[in-house]
Amino acid sequence: MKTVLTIASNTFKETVRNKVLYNILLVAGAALFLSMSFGDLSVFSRTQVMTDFGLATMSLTGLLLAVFIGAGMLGSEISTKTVYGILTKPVSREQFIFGKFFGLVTTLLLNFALISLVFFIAITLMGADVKISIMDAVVLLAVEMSVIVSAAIFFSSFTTPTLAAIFTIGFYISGHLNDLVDIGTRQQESVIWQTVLKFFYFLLPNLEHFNIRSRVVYDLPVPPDFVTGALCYGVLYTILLLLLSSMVFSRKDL
Amino acid sequence: MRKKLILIILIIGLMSGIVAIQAKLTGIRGLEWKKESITYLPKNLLIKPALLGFETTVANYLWIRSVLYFGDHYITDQNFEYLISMVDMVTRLNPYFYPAYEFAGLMIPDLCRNPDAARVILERGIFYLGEKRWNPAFYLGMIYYKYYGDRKQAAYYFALAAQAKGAPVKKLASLASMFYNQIGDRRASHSVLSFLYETSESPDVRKYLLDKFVSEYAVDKPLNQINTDDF
Amino acid sequence: MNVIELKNISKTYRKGLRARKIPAVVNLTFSVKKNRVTGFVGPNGTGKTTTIKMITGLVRQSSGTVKINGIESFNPQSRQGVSYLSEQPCFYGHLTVNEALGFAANLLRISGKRIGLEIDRVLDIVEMVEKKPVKVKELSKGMQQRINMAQVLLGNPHTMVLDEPMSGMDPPGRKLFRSIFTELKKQGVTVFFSTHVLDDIEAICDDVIVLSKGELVYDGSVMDLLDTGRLGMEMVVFGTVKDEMESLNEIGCIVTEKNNNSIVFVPKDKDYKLVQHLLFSKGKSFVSIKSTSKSLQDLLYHNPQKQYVEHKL
Repeated sequence: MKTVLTIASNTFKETVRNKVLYNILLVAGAALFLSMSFGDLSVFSRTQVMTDFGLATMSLTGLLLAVFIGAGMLGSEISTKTVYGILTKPVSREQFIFGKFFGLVTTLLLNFALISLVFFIAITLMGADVKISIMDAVVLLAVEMSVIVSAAIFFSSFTTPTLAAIFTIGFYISGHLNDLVDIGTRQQESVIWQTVLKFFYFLLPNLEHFNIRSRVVYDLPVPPDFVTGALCYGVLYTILLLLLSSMVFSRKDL
Repeated sequence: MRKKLILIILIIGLMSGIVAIQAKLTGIRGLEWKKESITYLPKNLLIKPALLGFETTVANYLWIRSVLYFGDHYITDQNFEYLISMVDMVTRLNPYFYPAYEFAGLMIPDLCRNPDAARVILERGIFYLGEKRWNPAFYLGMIYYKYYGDRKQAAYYFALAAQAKGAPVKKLASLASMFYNQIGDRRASHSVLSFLYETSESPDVRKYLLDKFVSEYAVDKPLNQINTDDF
Repeated sequence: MNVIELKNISKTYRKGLRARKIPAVVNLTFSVKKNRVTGFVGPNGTGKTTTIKMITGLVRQSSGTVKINGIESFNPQSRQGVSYLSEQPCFYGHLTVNEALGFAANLLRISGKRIGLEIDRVLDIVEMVEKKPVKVKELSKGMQQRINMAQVLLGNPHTMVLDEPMSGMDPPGRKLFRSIFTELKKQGVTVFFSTHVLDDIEAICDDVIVLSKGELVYDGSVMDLLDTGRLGMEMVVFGTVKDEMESLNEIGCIVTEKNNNSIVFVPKDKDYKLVQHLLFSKGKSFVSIKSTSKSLQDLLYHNPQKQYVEHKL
């Protein structure tokens, strides 16, 4: 555990100095404040429009952070050979992967918390209340981001940073389109096709489970066990992807 | 070897957990959230899934564009060629966006001279927001009355509007009852008043409805002996 | 006792769309003995770095076994008390010297209180104490290599595996490193390092392992290797030896004259004492008598295959 924390701490220090991080944060902050004017332009439902824009900005920010920082992490470690200084010590490849993940996700969650703070300030200035349901939406967005980060690490464990970034974006897109597979399953008459589609539905992640933005913004009910279930789903999927990353990375020649 | 075995067991366990939770979450979303049936939405509406969960954000953006478009053309040429499709797309992408239905009910029939388009949009609004908002049903009732001269349908929608949360029950009930009476359907009028009486929790509204019923349909019983069976 | 054991190691890489097999190391077997300094030499591209990476667990062998103290190299436990120095310094750019060594010390599970003392100790050895607060990326290549050596010394490892440690070092740096190796040798640390500089092998190493095209061509002590290259004895005699020429030719000596002296070369298969006695009995006096042999360079890189077929273990 101490080894994992050492690697995590070093990764945190490394990523927190990454300039790309600050550029993305700057853009996100600007977008959040711009969304206040969007609220005004809509004439009606100002706070709802602004809240929705704010949550959408946070979701996209999480994706950008995961892709730009997560996807290139392992690749840059291998190309600069800094990984040699770690893996030639009594450190297993699994400890390395988990350490990198925890370090990276700590940085991203910290930045996500900063963006959330800006968002809450902005909606409070607009006269809206910061409801528990909005906090639930933000927490689920953070969990979604962790899943995407773990996917980025998984892809970067066996391919180049550019391809890993593309695969991560593909993972995000397929995750949000997975509901179509579910709909397709119900529309199919052939049992074989139903089984195949159902297999793919459960194999691929369903990132829509983390999307309760519209329900939160328009005061539609969200069952409490749904939020807990989505949290568990995100945590399990993250662990699964990290274990798969460790397995792949342990076979990799450095 | 042992480590590999533990890893494989762990992965199988994780995948089983994921599948179980996924099934549960899908079930919750399927029952409570996916109100729209596949047949209600046109099958070629691929734009919604293509937006990857950002459909409400795009709807908000489209709404802002619609408002700006309306304002531009209102003060210039009064030609609102694309307004209907813009407002329609807003409600397709975000069926819970109430202002779009308000707009459709008030502006589209008159300014765009297209009550049919407004009718389609408002029916969608009733489907999604009918329980929470009385306005879409009311506007639809007015469209039926004003543009189609169909008092029966108008009365039906006024009665529907009266059942929504926060609706002005007295006024809507009166309207519905009046329209049914005008077309000679006293039975429908009775039904509306009695149904609204039974479902209302407000003592004030119940008294009003009872008085209205009594004033319209004389009953040979003292007031305090009248019960729902008399309706 | 052997610290590092490689048995029938092969490594094949697959390259290109048709996945051509490229052998990097072929059926390699050797051992690194405990408390000895072992050099690892071979021409460029011969598989030295690949072999070292297999020892340190960075690369998985295609076949065979690699063990450190009896534990498979891919097991992180095999690297307890073993340190590795890479050919190029590999530090995180955002860290200072102190932070980089602190990070390495933490990975070695050196206790928090001891870390500061340990960092000071190793920096003192490599003469870089004043560079503690400086970012590693701001140092020159030679200085970075010194920091690299410092991190290898952390925790007093019992075994060190070094990939071209002298690479990029200036002469004072090389001298420092040689003295470090000599000191480590006295302390009984097992050192295994690859190098192109054969003077280092002659000066420091007890044993040497020679690779050529991924295959082992020599595994043994440096002294034995140098012995194989011994040519003979060279005697420099005052004045001329014309009168003794016939006798010397009979023995098989080669005589040349230079600067009014005569240089008599006695091949190693001839008895040089006989020649010495002959010349001395003729009243000749000697300027010098010394053994001549081929340099390690000549032994390894001029017809090495022919040289070492005889001496292969």
